[in-house]
Amino acid sequence: MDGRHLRAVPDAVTLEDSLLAAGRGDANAFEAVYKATMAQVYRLAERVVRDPSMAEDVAQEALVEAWRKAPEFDPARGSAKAWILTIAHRRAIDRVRREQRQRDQHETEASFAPEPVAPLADTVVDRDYAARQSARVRAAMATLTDKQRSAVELAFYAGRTHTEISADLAVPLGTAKTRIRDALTALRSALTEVDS
Amino acid sequence: MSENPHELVGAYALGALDPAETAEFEAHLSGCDTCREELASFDVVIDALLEDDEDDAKLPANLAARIAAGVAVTPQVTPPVAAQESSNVVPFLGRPLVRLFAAVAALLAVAGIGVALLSLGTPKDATLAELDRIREAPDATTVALGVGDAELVYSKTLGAFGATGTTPALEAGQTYQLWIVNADGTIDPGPTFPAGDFTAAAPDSLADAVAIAVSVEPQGGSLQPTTDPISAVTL
Repeated sequence: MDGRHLRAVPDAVTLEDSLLAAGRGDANAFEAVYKATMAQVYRLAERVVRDPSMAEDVAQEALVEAWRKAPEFDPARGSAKAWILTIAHRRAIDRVRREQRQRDQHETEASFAPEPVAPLADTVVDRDYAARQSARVRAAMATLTDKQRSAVELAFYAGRTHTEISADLAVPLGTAKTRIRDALTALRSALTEVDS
Repeated sequence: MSENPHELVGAYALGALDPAETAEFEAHLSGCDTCREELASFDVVIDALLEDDEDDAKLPANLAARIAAGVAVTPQVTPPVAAQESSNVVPFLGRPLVRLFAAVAALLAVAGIGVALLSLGTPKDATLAELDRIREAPDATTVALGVGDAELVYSKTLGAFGATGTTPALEAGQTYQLWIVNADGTIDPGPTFPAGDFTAAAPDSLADAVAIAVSVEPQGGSLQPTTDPISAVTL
């Protein structure tokens, strides 16, 4: 990696500028990107995986992936922050699902054990997801029915697939699909009203 | 899967489809303007869900150092085609690649040689920690790298590999470099490492990899191989 001239980043340089420069191989520019975003990336990861050291791994992997894929970043398709957080969210969800698969495997192997393990759904369904949402998301979530809100939160924060959500919430698959889509439509209305 | 794929647009936006459903929906999406528009309209929701109002207090102390270490050893993707045609990007595809690929195939037909990786500028601790992380993966595999006594350890689930050992001397101004050979025939640059004792690691590098190759390159490494590989290991 060759040395770069860019020492101090002027205030006028946006996150998008830095990420675009990183996409041209400028590791110093990427330092500005990860320093500006890593705290939020970590919190998002922690919110999904619910374990500090696992969240740290996910945050590290997500930002290294952002560096690797920086040449593909296109500012016309969204902000740099949303692009990075989307990578982090996907990695966090992947991690949660991997952990879940391993747990399922253990449970199958231990299926003759006398102590039945509480189904995961009981714990993910009961979590208080609102506690860590931003005020505007909480306000928008408040416009949903309880069931719509559960479906969105299980998908987004617990990494549940729509098939799992239909089981978690004991509704037919078609209902789960519709509920998620309707919920997003309602959230869109609420958020765009708040914004304008 | 479903007779009405439009219904899945919400679940897709939230990442709530399994991999097979995701592939199926994306196939539908490429031909459905309605779904693409609806999906784009949900961006405002997804972006809001990704946000929070919290301060930065909880940040782990060494996260920045770990990211820096990962960045130092991680090559970037080849930019999209449009970007390649603009001037500032070096495409990895080209004649030397074809040559290397043929040479890799020839080497594989013969026998294993050894390779070792060293991560330039990375604090040794971070590299060692990454190597340990790979070794602890349930599917970790260790093989001779084919250069000196070096060993290659990789995990497909982590998508990461590392190497450590001792390698033969090189001429002044030369370095060893690792290459990631992908299933589609493209080759991504991996870390360089010096002659002698070394440790190298490349997290998040094996998504489409079928082999790891080693060549001798000018100091600082290359974006694409400039010499034939001296070793290659199929994964």
